Amino acid sequence: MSNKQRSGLEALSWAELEQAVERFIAADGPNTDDLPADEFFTLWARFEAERRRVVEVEGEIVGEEVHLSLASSSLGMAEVEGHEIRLPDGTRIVLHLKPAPPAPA
Amino acid sequence: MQVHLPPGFTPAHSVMARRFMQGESFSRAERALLFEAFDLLHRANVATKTGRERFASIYERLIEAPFADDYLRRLTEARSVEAVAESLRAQVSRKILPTLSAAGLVSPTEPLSFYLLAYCLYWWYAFARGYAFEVEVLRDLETSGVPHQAHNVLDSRARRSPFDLVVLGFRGDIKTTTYFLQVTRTQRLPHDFYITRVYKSGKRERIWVVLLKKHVWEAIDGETTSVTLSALATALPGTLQIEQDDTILIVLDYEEWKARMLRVHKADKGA
Repeated sequence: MSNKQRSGLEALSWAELEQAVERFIAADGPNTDDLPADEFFTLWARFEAERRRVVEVEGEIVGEEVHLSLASSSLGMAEVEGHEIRLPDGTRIVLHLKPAPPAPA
Repeated sequence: MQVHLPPGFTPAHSVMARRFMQGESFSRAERALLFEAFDLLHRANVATKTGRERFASIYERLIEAPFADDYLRRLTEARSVEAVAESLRAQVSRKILPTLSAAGLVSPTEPLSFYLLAYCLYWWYAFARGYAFEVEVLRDLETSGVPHQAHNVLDSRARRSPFDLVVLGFRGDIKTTTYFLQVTRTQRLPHDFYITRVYKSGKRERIWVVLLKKHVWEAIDGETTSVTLSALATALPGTLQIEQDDTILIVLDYEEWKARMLRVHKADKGA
């Protein structure tokens, strides 16, 4: 495999880029439009599963404090108490707030 | 002018962007990486003498804002959407490189600016193909007499509504499969139903399908056949139920969905 095949767009010369754009438009754009049914549903299932690994935490600023809570999409995936988030594997994430720097005069 | 790619944008993403521009095809694993690459590029930015601007904002300002309304107006005025859509999207696509060059945002002196060009082409095609499909579906619903309220695709503010249409009180979206996946990669399915189109396995024939959440299916009632995801593609068309963790979706043929919605509507009127 050549270096160019392993490289990104910056490896193209301006002339190669212009040619690529012309071919791209002549072919009616990307080769990524509608998918075969099996590929579509397999990818959908994969994305569903991957998304479940994300724990979403919401923070509400109340006075000078941040109140943390689990987003509805992540209920049951972690515990939140005060400024601490506890993950099922025992990891604890603790939020420490710093005072804001004084505003410039 | 200097382009800054976002943290997390790896050489593997760069290769996907180049291959996308060169019209190559992608395996399933590569396709997921391709979606990720163009999502990450939302946060790329261009620094000029006047300040920094994100790719997403440049696309909106220089491509979608000036060209989208005219594209959609001509699309909706055409007798056959399919007959004109390709040439209409190509007309705009040919303006993208000259527009970005004239604005000093894509230049041979800054090769990373080529990613801005790829980004604008990617999202323009997602937009143009998505709305061509949506206009076709909305026309068909109108012709078929399926009662619905749809957002006005000619109004840029209405286009930003969180859902495309309401049928019998249920909120739905009309999306091409690639854009559907681009969205579901990072978000739960927020709506009650989705209209999309897929290629039937092993054939060049495209079929329109509707994905319904279970509560919608319960409202229009009917029997389903439970299938695994791997068997689903060969079982289409039919009325099928798939379960992925705690999400249950009913997948059915678009014509069958329309017939059922019409039946429920008539029953409601007669009640």
